[in-house]
Amino acid sequence: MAVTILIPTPLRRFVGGSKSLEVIAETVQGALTALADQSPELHQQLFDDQGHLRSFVNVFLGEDNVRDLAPAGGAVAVHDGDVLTLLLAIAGGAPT
Amino acid sequence: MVAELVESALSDLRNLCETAYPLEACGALLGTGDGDLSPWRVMRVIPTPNRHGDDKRRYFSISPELQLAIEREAEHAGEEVLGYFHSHPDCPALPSDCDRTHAWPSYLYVICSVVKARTVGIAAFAKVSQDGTLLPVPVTPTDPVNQSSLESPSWPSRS
Repeated sequence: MAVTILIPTPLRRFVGGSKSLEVIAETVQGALTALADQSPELHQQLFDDQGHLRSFVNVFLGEDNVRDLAPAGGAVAVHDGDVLTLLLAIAGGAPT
Repeated sequence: MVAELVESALSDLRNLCETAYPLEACGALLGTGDGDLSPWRVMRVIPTPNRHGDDKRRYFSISPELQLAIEREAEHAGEEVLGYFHSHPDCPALPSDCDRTHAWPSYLYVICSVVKARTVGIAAFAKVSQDGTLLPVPVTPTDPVNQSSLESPSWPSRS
């Protein structure tokens, strides 16, 4: 299945500045792995040492948060033409 | 690495941060440029609820669902999400350890210092390396009509 992945600004430097990339995959996890395979640095940004998606990376399949679609981390199927959006958690705070 | 902030966005930023006081305000910065080949040009700010669960006087976080909506909004308008802003109630407009930990390269971060519900300072920063360093980014208030910088590049608090 051909899936488009929208890349957030901070990660575009790992993919030659591209805003989006198309990959072939059967699942969301497969699509992310195909994306991460393009750059070891990007792989490190997306996945921890156990291969799990890092907590500060959010992935949307269309308008749905993948963590809601598969709370236990199971596979989520993708279909031709699906769009995945990667987002990085935004947080901070004042000096304590 | 420089940034421009149009006057209306600057005014909105102040109002949002003062209204949220004593809690932290937060939201996204939309506009054009990348801070590298072309200056960041913040055309508008989009506020978001502070969804931090513990202490909204000292921390903020933004819902990923709202981030997605903002990304869609920016794309629809032909803009980019340039970065994010938040306020520091009763603290200076300097990055905290928490800000440094959560910052991403290539985003512009604007911090608004609010004391007693009045803005006393605004500063911008960007992360240029993985070691957590946030460097100051010179910011110029800009008149969107004339497309030129205003006379005063400094931002004293409103009288």
